[in-house]
Formats: sequence, C-alpha cells, structure tokens
Amino acid sequence: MDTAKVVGKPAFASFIERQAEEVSVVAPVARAAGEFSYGEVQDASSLEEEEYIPTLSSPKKYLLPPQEALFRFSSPADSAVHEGEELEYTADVEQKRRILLAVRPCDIAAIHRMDQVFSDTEPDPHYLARRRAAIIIGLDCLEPCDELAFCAAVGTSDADEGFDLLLTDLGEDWLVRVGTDQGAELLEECQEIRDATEQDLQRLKDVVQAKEKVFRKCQERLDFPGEDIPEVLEGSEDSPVWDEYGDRCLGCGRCNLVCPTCFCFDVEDTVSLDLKEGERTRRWDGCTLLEFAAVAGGENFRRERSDRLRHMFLHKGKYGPERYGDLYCIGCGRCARTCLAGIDHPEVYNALMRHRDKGDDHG
Amino acid sequence: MTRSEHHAKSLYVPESAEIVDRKTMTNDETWYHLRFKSGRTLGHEPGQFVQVSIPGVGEAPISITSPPSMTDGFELCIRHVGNVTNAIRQLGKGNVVGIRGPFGTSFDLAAVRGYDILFVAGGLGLVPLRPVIHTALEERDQYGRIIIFYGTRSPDTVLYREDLKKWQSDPSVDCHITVDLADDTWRGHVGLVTELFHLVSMDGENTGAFICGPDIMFRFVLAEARAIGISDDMVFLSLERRMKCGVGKCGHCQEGPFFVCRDGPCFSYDQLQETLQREWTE
Repeated sequence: MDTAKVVGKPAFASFIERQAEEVSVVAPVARAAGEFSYGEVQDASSLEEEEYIPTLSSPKKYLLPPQEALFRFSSPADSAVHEGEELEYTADVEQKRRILLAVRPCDIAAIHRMDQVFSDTEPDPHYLARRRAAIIIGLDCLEPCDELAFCAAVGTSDADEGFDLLLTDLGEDWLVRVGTDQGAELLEECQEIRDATEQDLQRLKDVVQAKEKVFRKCQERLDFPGEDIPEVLEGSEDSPVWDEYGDRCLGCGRCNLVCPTCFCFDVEDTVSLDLKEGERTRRWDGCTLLEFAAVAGGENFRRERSDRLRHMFLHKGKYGPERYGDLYCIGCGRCARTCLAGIDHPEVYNALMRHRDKGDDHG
Repeated sequence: MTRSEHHAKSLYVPESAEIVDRKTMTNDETWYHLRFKSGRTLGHEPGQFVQVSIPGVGEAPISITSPPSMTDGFELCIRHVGNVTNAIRQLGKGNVVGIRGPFGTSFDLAAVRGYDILFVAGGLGLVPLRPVIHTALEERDQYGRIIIFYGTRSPDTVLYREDLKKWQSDPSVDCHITVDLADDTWRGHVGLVTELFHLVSMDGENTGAFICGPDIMFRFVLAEARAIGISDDMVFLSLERRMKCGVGKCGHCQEGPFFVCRDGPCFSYDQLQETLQREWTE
C-alpha cells in the first residue's frame, strides 16, 4: 500500500460536506424501505448506514448515463433534417467534476472493466470525459451485503486498485487508503487527518483478516474457484443447462439494466416538431432482449432466449476475460436480485460444472 | 494522423458526403456515388464498410462497393430494407448524407497472392466482394485463375450487370452466374450457387476463396469449398450483423467472442469455425 491516512469520522463528514458545496457528490441513498440507489448527496450520511443494502443499480450511470446525446444536428436551410441538405453537427462531452462516494469493491472492479471497454481500439470520448472528471472514494465491505452476492468467489470483495481513495471502517475512524495522486490531492483539503501509524495498520490487517472468515460463505456460493469460470464455460455451448435456464428466462433485460459491466447501447435519433433539428442519443440496451441481434433484412442471430442468455454468460465469463484478462461478472448479485425468474449466476455456473463433470454437455 | 486519433473527437459524428450520382439497380437496390464535402478521400480497403446517416432517421452499416483505386469519392450499393435505407431512397443527386468510416477489417488479398482465387457471391453479397474482384483484376498477374460464382434469386435481381458482362467476356476470368428462379428471358444457369462448383474443375489446394452472401448460403458453400480441398485458412468471408456504433462499443454485432464491426466483418473461416459451427448445428 502506498499511503494510508486516518481521520475521525466527523472530520471526514465535514470534508465531504464541503466538497458537496463545490462539486457533485453521489452516494447510495435510501429510496424506499430496504431500497437504495445512487443519488446526489450533500453530506456523508451514506457512510453511516447501519446495514448496507446493495443499490439496485451501480454507479455506472454516472459514467455511462442510461441515455445521453452523442451529438446534435440542425438544418441551416429551410428544410427538414432528413431531406438531404448539409447539416451542422455539434457534439459536447460532459466533464462535470463528480465524486462517487461509498463505491463498493465490486463496483470499483466494474468501473475498471468499463474503462477497458471504452478505451479499447476507438476510445469513446463521452465515457472517458466523464471518467476523467470522476473521483472514486471507495468503501470497503466488511461483510457480504446479502446472500445473493458472490463477490468473494470472483475476487472482487477486496479492492487493491481502481479507486482514488478507499475507506475502511475502524470504528471511530476511517482508515483512508490513497490510490492515486488525484486522491492524495483531494485529501489535502481534509482537516484533522494524520498518517496511519503501525498500530492503525495492524487494525486494518485485523479487519481484513476478519473479512476472510465472514466472506467464506459468499465465496462458497461457487463450487469451484472463480478464475476457472472461463474454463467451465469452454465447450459449454451445447450444454442442456442453457435450455433449462433459457426456458425460465423471460428475456426482459432487467439483468442487463442493473449489471455494472453491461455496456451495450442502442442509438436513436429524435427530431424537433418542425423537423429542423434533432439529436442522436444512445441508451442502454440489453443482449437478452429479443431484437438485440436482429438485422433489417429480418434475420435474428439470437432468436431463442437460451441463445441470448448463453451469450450473456459467455460474454461475462469467457469472451471478456479472453480479451481483457478479467471476469466481466463482478459477483454483485444485482441480476439475481432483480430477476423475475430467479436466475442466479453462481447457480448456473455450478450447474454447468456439474453437467461438465457428468460429461453430458457435448450431446 | 492515425485513424483512432482522427475519431477521438468525433467518434459518432458523421461527415457530410454528397450524392454525386445514383442509379437504380433493381427494384430493391440503388447504386450511389458519394463524395465528401471536405474533399477527403475515404481511404478504405476492400471489404470495409461505412455507417450511413440520415439524421432524424438513423444510421446503417453499408459495405463499400468501389475499389480503393477509385479515389474520386466512393460507391455504395444499398438495399432498401430498413428505415435508414428507405429514407436514402428519397434522396437524389446533390443531396447530402452523413458518413462515418471506413470501419472494420478488409479481405486479405495478400494471403492468396500466387494462388487461384474463387469468389462466391450470393445476392447482395456481391457488393462487398466487388472491390476485391476489381483490385485482384487490377493486379491480375499476381494471381492464378480468377473464378467468380454469383447466385441470385431471379434475373431481375442481378446486380452489376456491366461488371458481370465484362468479367464473362474477359478470357482471364471464369465467371458463372446462376438464378434460383428463371423467367423467359433467362438463358443462363438455374439453380443454387453451390451447383456451380460442379461446372468448374478447381485445384483446391492452390485456391483461396472469398465468400459473401446470406447466412444460410455460407453453410453450403463452405462445405463445397472444403470438399474441393481449399484449406480453412484460405477461405475468407464477410458477415452481416446488426450494428449501431461501428466502433466496437454498442455490442449489437457480437458473434461469439467477436465484435463483427471491429474484428470483422471480414474473417477467415479458420477464425470463425467454432462460432459458426455451433449456430449451424442448432
């Protein structure tokens, strides 16, 4: 660890309050009984939640909004935009400084994966501008959020990188791990903060050690090591497991909507009533939806629900790791929490493993 | 300026291109000659595609049909099947559309240098193959025999009649055309494009093949290519998938591990085998 600091919780809270006066601060806030989601906050009360309930969706929406304009177009002539006159195009990228507060290790891992996708080959200026303007203050999990999480099984229950600052609860104090220069700079504005002592670091070590035990059950949700997921998926294409779960799947796309590593989007044009200006927007899309792979000529390359479900699993568990070296499922459990058919990813992986062991997946 | 630098600022914003000329090819397809208003050259390789925009309606991926040697603008052949392609139909000479690209991989002609080349096109599949055929003919002495199989639905759906006539009368080209359903005017072959394999004897081991057509055609043509001994890494094909962004982001064009817009649309059969085989056995 590069540097670690310690600050009393009230001092850190007033630091956040001061930040909120200057920049946008977003953190998990209670929306209804037992329901949290990320929203703008003015203080650090999110850090004080007694029982943390995972947010319905991840902080992804602040980097890749559910809907955003890619550019605007207008017709300088007295004609509608689609009538073939030369148009004026304007594109803005949002660069609003924003602190993402209380981001959990699984979501920190997810943001790292989104960074990979959006900087790959043709960098996406919209995502990257937001990302560069974002400051991530992580919050370590000392216990699993619920029984559907399986972060410990896929190696995302601890964060070693991907944050500017990471908070660990030491009771009266926060232990603050500094991940980047940007994080260090920000902390200069935090009062009553001191370097961590040997004793503090020992406390951190104890806390981290205690995690291992507390997260054992979470880790055991998967019957095999998470790093073997690509191998388990290898050659699973014809497994009957996909038919079984494909039958249950409603193809509703809710899992895609809440997944912190789903990045697919649809693109749509909208025009003003006089048809003289408009914008091209992108909005989240989902690979489990029927029309996702359909082309204009009528062909649909993944017509069956089982094809689409399998594609999603293979993308998260095999294709993603093959290209980027990381699992694209970060074990947050959000898909299972929201799935109307109760499809739970570790359950599917375990079923694939059992079928593979029985050797009946090549039927 | 490299391509990624060029697109960094304007990844999704199209450039204006003027329709310099257009011709009706069939009931469903129109040929367009486009030129960038900025004067820049498209700078594409055979097999690549562009994203064509009609702002207010949307954007669609379209194969480039002119060879790279044509530098006065570029050509597209568009089948009017969706919102965007039907909106383009309403436009004429002098009108402007939006263009992004060129995108994707190209057909690897260098890999078949010194070999015989077999082109197999089904229907609209002739569009992305046309620039490859033209390029191969421009450097004719680099290759052995050049064999073209073109199959289409019916005589009225034949594309690029002038090209086909030229290729058929060129003694250095072996060009065969077939239609699924003939009418009274048709004097040529009737039947599926695969039947043409039995009309021409080929030296498979010394042949490279470029194939493009509807998905259903690939399965049978690839089997024929194998049967005459063309090795899988010498077979190249172009896939059509749904595309929204063209730059490997929106996810729609995924085929197995590939983003067809970025890793394709041109692939070797070798690369795709696992993925396609699975689809076909279902």
